[in-house]
Amino acid sequence: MAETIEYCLRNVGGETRERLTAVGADAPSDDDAATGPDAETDAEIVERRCLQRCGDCYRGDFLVVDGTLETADSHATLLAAHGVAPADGVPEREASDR
Amino acid sequence: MTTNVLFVSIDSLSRHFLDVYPEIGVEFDVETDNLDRFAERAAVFDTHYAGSLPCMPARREWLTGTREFLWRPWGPVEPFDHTLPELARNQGILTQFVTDHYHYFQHGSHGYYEDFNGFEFVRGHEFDAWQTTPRYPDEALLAQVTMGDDAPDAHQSAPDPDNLGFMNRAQYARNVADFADESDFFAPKVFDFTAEWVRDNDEWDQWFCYVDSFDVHEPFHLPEPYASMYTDEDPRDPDLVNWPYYGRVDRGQSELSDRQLEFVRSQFAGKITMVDRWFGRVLDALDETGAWEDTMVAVTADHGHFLGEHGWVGKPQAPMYDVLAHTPLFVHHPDAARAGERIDALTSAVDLYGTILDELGVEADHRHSRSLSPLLHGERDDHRDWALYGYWGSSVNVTNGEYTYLHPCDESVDAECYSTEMMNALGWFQPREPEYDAEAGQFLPYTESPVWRWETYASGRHDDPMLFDVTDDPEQEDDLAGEDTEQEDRLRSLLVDAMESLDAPASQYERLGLS
Repeated sequence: MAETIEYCLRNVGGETRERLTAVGADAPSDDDAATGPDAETDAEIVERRCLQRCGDCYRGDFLVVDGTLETADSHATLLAAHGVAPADGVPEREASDR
Repeated sequence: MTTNVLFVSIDSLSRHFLDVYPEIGVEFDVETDNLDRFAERAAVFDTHYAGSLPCMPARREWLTGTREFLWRPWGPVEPFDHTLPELARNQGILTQFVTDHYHYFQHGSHGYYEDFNGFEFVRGHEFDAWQTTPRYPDEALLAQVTMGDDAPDAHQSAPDPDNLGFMNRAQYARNVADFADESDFFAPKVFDFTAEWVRDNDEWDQWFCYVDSFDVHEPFHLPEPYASMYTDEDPRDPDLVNWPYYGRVDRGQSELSDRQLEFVRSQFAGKITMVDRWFGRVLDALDETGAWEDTMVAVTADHGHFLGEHGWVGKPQAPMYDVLAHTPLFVHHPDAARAGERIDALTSAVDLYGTILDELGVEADHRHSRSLSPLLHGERDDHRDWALYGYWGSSVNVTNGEYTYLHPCDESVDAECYSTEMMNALGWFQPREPEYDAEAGQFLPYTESPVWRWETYASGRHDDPMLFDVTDDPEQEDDLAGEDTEQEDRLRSLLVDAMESLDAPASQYERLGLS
């Protein structure tokens, strides 16, 4: 079970950012243990302005899960591997679109 | 008598590691004999603050007098900027640049070195795209430049040497593969060149020399004796990291064990001592040539570096604590009334632009800069009521020298970027991309030049305002926001006054929730 999922601000599109923000708000944390059983993930979702993975960021979609780089053809694929459903209407490849 | 100017930046030099600034201190007695001896003859500024962060925004403050973070992030010199070397050489002043700061030569950072009569670029620091061999660098160093094998979750793998993408940490391991002696490292080369340059150029009537040392910036990879100076660990132990990722020390990819954090701090301290010893060679050259008599020497840093303070490491998306923003500044001037004294007036990074112009005798618009010369020469004791600092698209922060006030932004409101260039507002080091939604117009208050304006993501650092009494609480451990409402209101008003004084974009008030 992932404990921390980090994503780069530049690497996500608007829909995925909103989705990750919402999932992160639902996830349990030290500060908010009152989250209900419907949370999609126990992981802490963390947005970073830059994760210092610039080459990988430029190449495509990625997440850093518990410190390990994970890449795939889309954030939807990456998130599905951790039990998080994708946002509606997310394009296949959205990195570098901002 | 004409005055030469030697302007030295030591990147990431956290002032609380220095004996000259003892109010906080660290667990080591960091040897800085040469900075100490320089401070004895210099005016030491106690309340000096960064402006626009991080690296290149700070350089635009120093070299063009622009407080840029209210309008744009990391980027090039603009066509409507006038750099110090351009203005100086136009008046017959020799200009020289010495650096190992490779960001000047990356995507999106042009215009900073081109105006100098001469520049020396010491290659190879951090991600500098320099060496391509050996294809497979030393495995122990590859481990150390990520997180070491002793990361808390043993989760970090070394960078893949076969990955040819941008910013691969294997680049550093290749760059230093042939380094054998202390003199092969970066600060030794930068300061040794500078010392020789000072000795060799005394025939010129007047000069301006800008020295920008990337050290003490990470990677914290050191030769002996510095690597073992403040630790009993084996500094080449692949379990120990010398280049931690930015972020929280207790989670995510930036997580560090206690042992790793202690080691990183020891290497940072060692790097300060290495820089200090080689900076001493420049002081020796000034002694030998007698250049002190006609040369202003300023030493400062662009920002500090978190090494566990407040639970953070690096220059992360953390509140803008003084660890980053409160910077060292020492200025020797042959005619300064305040030589050898402490100056407690509030000063700001951008003020160095006007100071250097004034001391070179160059008349030019100072834009956002306020010359420190009246302070140095004892003509006045106060300087400015506020100093603004921050990253573009994030929180905006202000100090009056007694309190610091960190004001959050609304992350859901995009930030506006203004520039003649379509730089990557979020991915500074990556190739540029068109901004198809940009519009052009005369949007900047300090130039009639049209610029592009476009919106992109904002990034927050904290949800609520933060207030610190930095006189009584220099480590900023006690957040007074919500408690000392009188001071909070006062600093919030000061923030608005400062933004109005700079004619900040209207969109800033919206994203900051200010009126």
